[in-house]
Amino acid sequence: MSVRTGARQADAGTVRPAPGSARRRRVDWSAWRAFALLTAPLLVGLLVFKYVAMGWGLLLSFSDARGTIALGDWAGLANYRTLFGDPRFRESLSMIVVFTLVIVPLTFAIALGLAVLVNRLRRGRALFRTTFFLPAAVSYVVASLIWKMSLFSGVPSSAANSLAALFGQEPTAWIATVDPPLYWVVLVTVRLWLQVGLYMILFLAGMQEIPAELYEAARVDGAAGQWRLFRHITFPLLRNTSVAVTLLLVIAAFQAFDEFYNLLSTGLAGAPGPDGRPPLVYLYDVSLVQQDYGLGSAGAFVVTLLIVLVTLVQGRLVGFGRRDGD
Amino acid sequence: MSGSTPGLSRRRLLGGSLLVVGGAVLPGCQSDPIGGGSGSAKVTLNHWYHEYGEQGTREAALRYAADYTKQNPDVAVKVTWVPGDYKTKWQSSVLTPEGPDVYEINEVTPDMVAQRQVTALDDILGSVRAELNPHALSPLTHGGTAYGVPMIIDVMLLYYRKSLLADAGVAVPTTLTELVGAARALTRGKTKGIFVGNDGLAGMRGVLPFSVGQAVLTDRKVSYATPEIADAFAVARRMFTEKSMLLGYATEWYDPNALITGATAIAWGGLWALPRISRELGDDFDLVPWPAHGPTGKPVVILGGWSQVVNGKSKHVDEAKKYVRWLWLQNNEVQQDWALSYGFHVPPRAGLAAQAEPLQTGAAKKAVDLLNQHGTRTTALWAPTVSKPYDDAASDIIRKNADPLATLTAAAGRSQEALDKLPTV
Repeated sequence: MSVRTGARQADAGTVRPAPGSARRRRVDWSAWRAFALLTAPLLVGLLVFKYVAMGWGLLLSFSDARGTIALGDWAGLANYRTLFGDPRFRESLSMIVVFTLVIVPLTFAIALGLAVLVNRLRRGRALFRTTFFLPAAVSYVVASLIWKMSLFSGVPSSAANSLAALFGQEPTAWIATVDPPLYWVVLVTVRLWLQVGLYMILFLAGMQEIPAELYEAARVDGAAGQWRLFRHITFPLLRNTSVAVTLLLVIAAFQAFDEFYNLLSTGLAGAPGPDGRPPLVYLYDVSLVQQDYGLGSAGAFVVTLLIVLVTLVQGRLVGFGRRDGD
Repeated sequence: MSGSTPGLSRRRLLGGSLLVVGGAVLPGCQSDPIGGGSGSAKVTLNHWYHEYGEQGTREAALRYAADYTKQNPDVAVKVTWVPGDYKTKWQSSVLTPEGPDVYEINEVTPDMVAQRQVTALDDILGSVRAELNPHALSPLTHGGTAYGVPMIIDVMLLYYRKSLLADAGVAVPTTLTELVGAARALTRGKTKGIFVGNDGLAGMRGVLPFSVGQAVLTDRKVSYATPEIADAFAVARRMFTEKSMLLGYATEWYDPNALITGATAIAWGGLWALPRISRELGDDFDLVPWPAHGPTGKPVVILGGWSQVVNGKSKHVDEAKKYVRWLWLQNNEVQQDWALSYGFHVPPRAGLAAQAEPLQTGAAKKAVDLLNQHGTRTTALWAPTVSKPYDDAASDIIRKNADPLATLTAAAGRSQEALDKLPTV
């Protein structure tokens, strides 16, 4: 493909005097055909499985669709009213906002810290990079089960309770204790362990883009100390990476489902309780357990809208921040 | 720079929103079907089972299907054994024209009837209906019409370790207050007093209303917000707050592991676990109903189990009905084999249950007697939309010390709303 493109460019170069000639148009058509042929499977898939599904979902959200995904029984905004009338849904929205406010800065700080440390290593950088990245390859389900059954299980022999026993603490039912919300310790640690490595790699990549001369110049100018170099060179130049990482983190946090579902559900006995029920778990229950596909679709669009809103606000804030900073 | 940031965000965001919407709208994929069918048959029936844990059940299901085709060469039966989250899989499958013809469920909701996910089976039930356990039939019946055939009855009650109770000098509890006291006294060292679920309520919340002699629903009226039920919650909660409950164990309440290892002295459990418990513990266990509470209280044994329904949208409703009649109504051998050869369940037909040899002695006999005496369960109107506010309220009361009556009253309003939305069928 690239060879042909190269040849075409060379051709185009030689016939530059006649830009609108029939020959050039013919070449464009064949390229267009190839493009269409190669992208069609993906685009058709995207259209059918994503956009049609999305459109259908939007229509369903205005329908009374219980036990069916057929359209026609229009209900106007009733589903949206029901949704916002349910205190549990409002709770789930505020819960996910709090979760995002906790998990995003934490992951950001730890991933950045690790990246700085790994970047400073003279030897064994690859080893540490791989070690920290490895959890990112683990499934959320598997990690949740390890956290649930061995690290934070309620029996005295679990890792957390063994550790607590060293300090003379009684065994604790970490996941079942919602008041105080000890289950948050479990939820936050499992997500941190799973996602910190990936974002560390992004930061590392960003750091390696920073030219070494800048640090040298700063040293020549008398900037001493690692912290000052980080504060005035590394961190400002990681801006693009930081913005991208934050965006990805926020979206991932809003879409939280796997670890909440697997840590807090009680197997065959039922879905997670009202504590630690993020919007997607709530909607999963509405759609796939209660079979109210209209209400579920309405909820999906509310969550989508929320993500859009938060992302736009965030983009705005970051943009302003930069102008102010400069 | 600031110009490129929103560009990036929009793209990510589109990807993100696609995921959300796609995830909510497009339900999980179907698993590969297993099982045979015969090439010469005119009609192929798709028959779905959830994955039974007991050894040999899948082979048995395939054998029944093959036997049916042998007797009815025109009809092939393709058995699909569905592992994992069975409920969401059949629910998404019956939305399409390619759903199973015959499948199994726990209860029939009014929405399922309204959307023709099931079909009336009165004609094939016929005279057998009088023989079926009424509590097994009630979650399948709407307006006097039965939409399913019970396959097996599961019995749920309390198991306890005789030795642990004797060591602690605790008598077998006969009231909820005694149960709370027993759980407290039995919590010693690595043993907790009672296990009703890793969240502290899964096995218990549905039992409490029955234990005061009331029900969560009375016809089309939500009736769980009463001072008596609230009081039962307040008393039962003490087991959670006094830390006499086993929480966050590696297996769930429906697995007898916690009782066998001695992690708990009393456990809510099912009859299905009886063979393993008696194999591992020998004589060191016994059964007791969930104790009564208050002056109008009654001991409680809960019925559960699986039932067979015919998809109303199936292209072969008549053939499917005939097959179900042959399998679960006419074929006594199959019913006995299915209930008792692999795990331990009670056949829903009184006559068969009375004849079943393994149910005539020891703990099994006691369980069946308790079932006949105290067995009960919620009706078909206790649909997931109706029960959800109740389940959430139970969690708040037990685990967050919420005011029982106020919390139940608020939840009852929401349950009633959901109940009013259910179609009358």
